[in-house]
Amino acid sequence: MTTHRRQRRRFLRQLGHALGGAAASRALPGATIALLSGAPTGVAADEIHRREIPDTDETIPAIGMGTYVTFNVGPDQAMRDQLTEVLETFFDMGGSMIDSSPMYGTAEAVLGDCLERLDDTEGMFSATKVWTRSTSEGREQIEDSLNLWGIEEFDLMQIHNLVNWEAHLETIRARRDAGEIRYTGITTSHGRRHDSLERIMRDEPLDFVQLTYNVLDREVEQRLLPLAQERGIAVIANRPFRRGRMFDRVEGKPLPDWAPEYGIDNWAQFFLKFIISHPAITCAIPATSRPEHMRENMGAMRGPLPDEDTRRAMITYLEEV
Amino acid sequence: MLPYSLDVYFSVIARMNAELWWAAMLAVLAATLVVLSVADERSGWIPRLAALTLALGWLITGTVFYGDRLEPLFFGAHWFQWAYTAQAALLALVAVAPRPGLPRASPAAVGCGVTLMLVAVLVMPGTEAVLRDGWPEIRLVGLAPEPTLVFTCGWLLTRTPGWPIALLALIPLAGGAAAGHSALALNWGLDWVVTAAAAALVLLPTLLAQHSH
Repeated sequence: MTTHRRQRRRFLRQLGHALGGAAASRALPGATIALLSGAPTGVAADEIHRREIPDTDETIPAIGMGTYVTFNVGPDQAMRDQLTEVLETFFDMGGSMIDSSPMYGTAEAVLGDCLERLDDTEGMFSATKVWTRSTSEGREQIEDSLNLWGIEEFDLMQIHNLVNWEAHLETIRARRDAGEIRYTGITTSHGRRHDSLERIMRDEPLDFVQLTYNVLDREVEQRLLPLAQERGIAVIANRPFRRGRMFDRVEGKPLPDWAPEYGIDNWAQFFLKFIISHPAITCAIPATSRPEHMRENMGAMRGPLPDEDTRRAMITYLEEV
Repeated sequence: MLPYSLDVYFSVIARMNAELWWAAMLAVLAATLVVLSVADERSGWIPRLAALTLALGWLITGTVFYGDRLEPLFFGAHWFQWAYTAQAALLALVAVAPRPGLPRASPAAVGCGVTLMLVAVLVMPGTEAVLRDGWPEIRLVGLAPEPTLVFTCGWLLTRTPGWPIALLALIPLAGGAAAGHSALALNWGLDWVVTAAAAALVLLPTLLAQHSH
């Protein structure tokens, strides 16, 4: 039964894609998917927000999934079972983009194991990284990652934290030209190396950048996000919850009165909706090891998004609590 | 930033203890003998044997815990493995060097050192047994880094300060700093005991010397 429900949901989602990306997603609101598939209506009460990859006709859901820490669980079977449930929830609720890295210990191996247990991962947008100073090791890492994920090609290959980026970019471009990778990207986190990233974004043709952006870390609004829009580069926002520390800040604090107007039922959705309402952001990638948190995260893809005034109110509210 | 969670860290400890339970028991027995040896040092060889036992503990922790168990989960594990191996080599070197030996410190310093050693052997595992799920989710001296660090800081306090002890204190001090980072990153307050032990190793000899004057 579970399998059939999942396949039906997947079929409906794929139908949405086939009908024309973002426009079709609006034509097939989440409530309809929920009604037909039995998904919880509490979070599927509106359409799924998708974002266009600049200069393409392709769209991806505005909420993806990170794997840092959460999927680095080694051989522990109980934890892997729970992560398989997380992954199943992710796909069931319209998720697509998954991001990982060889730097994350066993995360890619665990992810591959969990994906293998799911009988249908069609529509997944796979993103990983190269993370080594050695150019030849970088080539091997891409092969290793393919094997660990159990897939034949990556949608997006990024250079982790700009490490040896010139050489790795050459490797990735060669593989893209050979049809083995679809998009190229480069990443940084927690504000380091923004100047270098800006230079690369100006000088190199990139499809994606990944950087830290959340309601408290907004430095990238000044230069990097406008530059990404100007250069037609998709943006993945990492650390949307500051590795969970933002929840400590708001523990026991109420959401603002106006939150329900934007379909915000919890703090995860408050944080995520702030991020994906920025016009330059393509996708946010929260990480979790708990299915109930995944449901909360994916709920941020539904309902109205805050406008500019509301975004300012969100910042003010968070600074005051 | 550590790329694993507290639960994953303790699952590594639990699996290691379950699979190497005999080594864990031997390590605790050896640590108990080292504590007892401080109480009765009739021969100059006793502290040398204790240093060699500690060297073995550091080597096993570096090789088994960091080099084998944590390595798949943590890109920095091999750096720790090298540091633990280096500390094992230093301990062995000081143990077999003819001079200056490892003379016993003042009674007050020995008392503080033995207290820290007992904290590592009994209090830390006991507290973890209560706070976590009991055996095998318990870090034990000689296999897990944190109690090994605390135990070593304690034993070094029982020795008269001098260049060998200063040399042997360098890596435990760095370990104390790393444990503080870990306490913050994993939100596990018990790791502050390691940082406190490292601080005691630096501060206590000076404070005790001032007090005796």
